[in-house]
Amino acid sequence: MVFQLGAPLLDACVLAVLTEGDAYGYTLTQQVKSVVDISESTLYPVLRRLEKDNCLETYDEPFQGRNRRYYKLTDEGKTKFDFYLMEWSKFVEAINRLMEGKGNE
Amino acid sequence: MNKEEYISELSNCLKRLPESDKQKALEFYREYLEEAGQENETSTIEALGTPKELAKKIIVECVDKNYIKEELSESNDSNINNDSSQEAKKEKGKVKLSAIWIVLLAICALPFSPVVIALVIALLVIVISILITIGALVLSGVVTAIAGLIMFVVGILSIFSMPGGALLPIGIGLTCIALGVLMSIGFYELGKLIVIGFVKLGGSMVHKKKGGNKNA
Repeated sequence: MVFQLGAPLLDACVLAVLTEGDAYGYTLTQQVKSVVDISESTLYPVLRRLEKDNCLETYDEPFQGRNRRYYKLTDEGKTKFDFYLMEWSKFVEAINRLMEGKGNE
Repeated sequence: MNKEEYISELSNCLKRLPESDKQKALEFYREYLEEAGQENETSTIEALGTPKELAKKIIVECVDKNYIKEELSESNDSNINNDSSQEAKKEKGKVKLSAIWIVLLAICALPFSPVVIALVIALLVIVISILITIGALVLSGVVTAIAGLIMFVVGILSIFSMPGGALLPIGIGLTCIALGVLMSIGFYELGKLIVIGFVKLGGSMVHKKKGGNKNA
């Protein structure tokens, strides 16, 4: 990937996946990884940070004799995601205008 | 390396982290490897990097967290009334100390190239020499104050035998006491500022490292 992924965009990606439903660490990583170029160890700090900021909460569910830790969006997380979504579309629009030369009209 | 070996080595590298941080990280990565399944175990372990590299990322995250705690307690300071601000200060000191500790850990978790070792030793020597200098300056302030006190006492004792001649040592003594107290307090505060500066410098160095590794 040519463009770099900063912390807010990474947060937004994780929140976006979780708006589709609760997920556990492995699938969450694989889903984000299938879209953007991150390493396997990128998401753990992101998840901890989002959890600390009360954007998501965790719960455990037994699976084949062990636990799966699911991550779930909180109301605060949803608000945060809406904010990111708005900011992102503004950003994309501005960059598009610039790159496609419409800014000069 | 199989899953169990990987986790136990990771646990080894995280030994000095707060227990809850360590357990959370270990649980996460254990579950991660279990979800990846037996057939993907080797490739996933490879993708995660060596336990040391992974430990470094986890430790850096903990430094971040402690920094945020520190900022919080600092901003709270202004809102708290006097009796609890003493406690807040104590708490702040603790957080700062653990920040120093974690910065040291992060340095230790780096791959040990000779350059890193040399840099660390150089930095330590600089810090120690600055501390010794500051200590010597504070001590000189204290000694000046003590000398002033002795002069003052000598002056007072001789005031009856030679009233005129006693005024000189009394004056010099008082001046020295004032100078000495000012010097020791001033240099002590300066030393504190320098130590805090180094801690912040260390913290920002770790932050930079983190930025560099994010896309690795």
